[in-house]
Amino acid sequence: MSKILALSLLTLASATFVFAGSVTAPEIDAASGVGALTLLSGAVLVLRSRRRKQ
Amino acid sequence: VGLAGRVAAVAALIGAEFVCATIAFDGDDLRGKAGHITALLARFGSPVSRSLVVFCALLAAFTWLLRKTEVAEFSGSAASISPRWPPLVVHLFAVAGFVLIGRSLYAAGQSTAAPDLLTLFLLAFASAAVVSAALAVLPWHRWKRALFLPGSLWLWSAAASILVAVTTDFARGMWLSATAFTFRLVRLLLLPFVPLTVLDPAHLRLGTRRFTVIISPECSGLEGVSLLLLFVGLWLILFRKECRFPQALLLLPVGAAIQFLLNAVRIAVLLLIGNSGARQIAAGGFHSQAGWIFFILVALGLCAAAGRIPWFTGSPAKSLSSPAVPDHAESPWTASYLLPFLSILAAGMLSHAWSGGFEWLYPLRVVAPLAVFWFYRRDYRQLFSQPRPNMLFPVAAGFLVFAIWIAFDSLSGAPAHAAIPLPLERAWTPLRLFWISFRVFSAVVTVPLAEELAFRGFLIRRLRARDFHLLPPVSYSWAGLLISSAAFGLLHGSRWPAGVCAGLIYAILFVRRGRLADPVIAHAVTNACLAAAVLFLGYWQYW
Repeated sequence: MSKILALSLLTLASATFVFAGSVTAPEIDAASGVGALTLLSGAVLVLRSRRRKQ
Repeated sequence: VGLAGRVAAVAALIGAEFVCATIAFDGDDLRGKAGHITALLARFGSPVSRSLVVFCALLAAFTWLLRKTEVAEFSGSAASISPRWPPLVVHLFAVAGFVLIGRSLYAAGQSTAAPDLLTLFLLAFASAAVVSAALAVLPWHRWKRALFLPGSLWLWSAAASILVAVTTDFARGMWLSATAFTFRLVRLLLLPFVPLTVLDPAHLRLGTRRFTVIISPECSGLEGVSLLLLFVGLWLILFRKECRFPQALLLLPVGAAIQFLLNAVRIAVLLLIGNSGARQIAAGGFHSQAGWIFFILVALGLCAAAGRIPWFTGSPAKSLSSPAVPDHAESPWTASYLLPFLSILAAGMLSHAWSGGFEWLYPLRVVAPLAVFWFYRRDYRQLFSQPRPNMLFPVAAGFLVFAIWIAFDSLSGAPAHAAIPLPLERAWTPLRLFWISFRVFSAVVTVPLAEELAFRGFLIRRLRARDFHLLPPVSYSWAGLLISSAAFGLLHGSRWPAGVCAGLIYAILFVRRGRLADPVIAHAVTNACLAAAVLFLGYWQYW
């Protein structure tokens, strides 16, 4: 979890600071960054969860 | 609270204040004002603050990951020290001084008396705010020891942040040639579908009579590629024990190539959508959402490949899909707690991507979590099978959050009244009622359930242990409460201060009696009040 949080925060920081304010409709829109990276980190957590024993 | 929790609290406080300052004060307003120091702040303020943020993030991440033993020892010894109030009071005064001087210095279109003196005071108040916040959680002699913990990592972090700045500049230099290559790629992709009547390589403009696009350097594909390289690179470093090297390194060029190609596909699809007549969808929703959608798909695909394909993991036994339960895997309950919320986020991205001026596909955000609830219905029956909750506290808390929400909105200076969106007003009445009923159902049923499962049910306890479902809710930590509330607030965009307060109130409700139904009811009451304010009083800004 801590690693995934660090991964997401660093990616978010990069998305916000490196790409912010370049054009109005860029490829990676920093304004949608929080939602998109929350989705990504949540999906990674689900992907890393183990199967429940039947 | 140990060292990590204290540093996180200071970082969250200063980070939130920093974000507020960047929103409230625009560096462009300083340009043209007299004073040498003010001119320096106008020119270098933004890049220096960006580099400082990158540096601090790297230093904290490196220290946390590479000095675990030292941090744990120090953290244990710091846990007995109580937070101190006097520095916090100083912090509040410093922030107030910063805001007052900032308002005068950054006043747009006005000349300021003694700007250099004001700039120096502004910097002094900012420094005092940072130092006092730090001293509130840990005394100076402890900080002195803590500052020695990273050792050589100070240098490594500085070097890495300089490298990030230089690489960014270098990548910007590559943009023009990358844009030309993307232009050719898009033309190639479109050849079988539409005759391109507009083709201007000099200005990177291509399209048909009905719709044309200009490929700007920012749309060359390098943004997505660099973000993906960063994500996969960090993944390979953080989860190196789970990967097989050098095979796993192949994920970097493969991911970059797929991401670059998908950016060309994005532009080609955008042109086809625009050419079909849906200009608003092409230039509005699709343009801003498709980049993230492709990035998430590629990143997830690479994570799945790195964790599940034996050639990358080393042996089949390491695969996460194995029921042999590897010790680094997440709790088996993760999916049932997180997927409803994730499905809402994903459906929101898709519905935004296919929307022009108005989000007509909002019902997708209802259908997606309902499908997840149905799939995991046995889990939820177990989760919500507790005795009937006492409704008084949750309902009162719901009303309180509603009042806070309205109060913050009034204080922020947002327009007091927003009209119904024009496309909805002009829509055929049954269609309008259909859309509104889905919107209300989402606000009162699916969103409270999904968000409470994710932020309160999952995040608060997951910050304490991987097998969060085994922990009773009453064994919470204040750091968990604050982090989950801050995350909840951040997802509410410009209303984040109200979101953080709401998150805290729902979190306290959850840990008070350990019943997830309590915050769900409170959240539903808040959203029902907001829906009533929208529908009966016409405050459409809340939707």
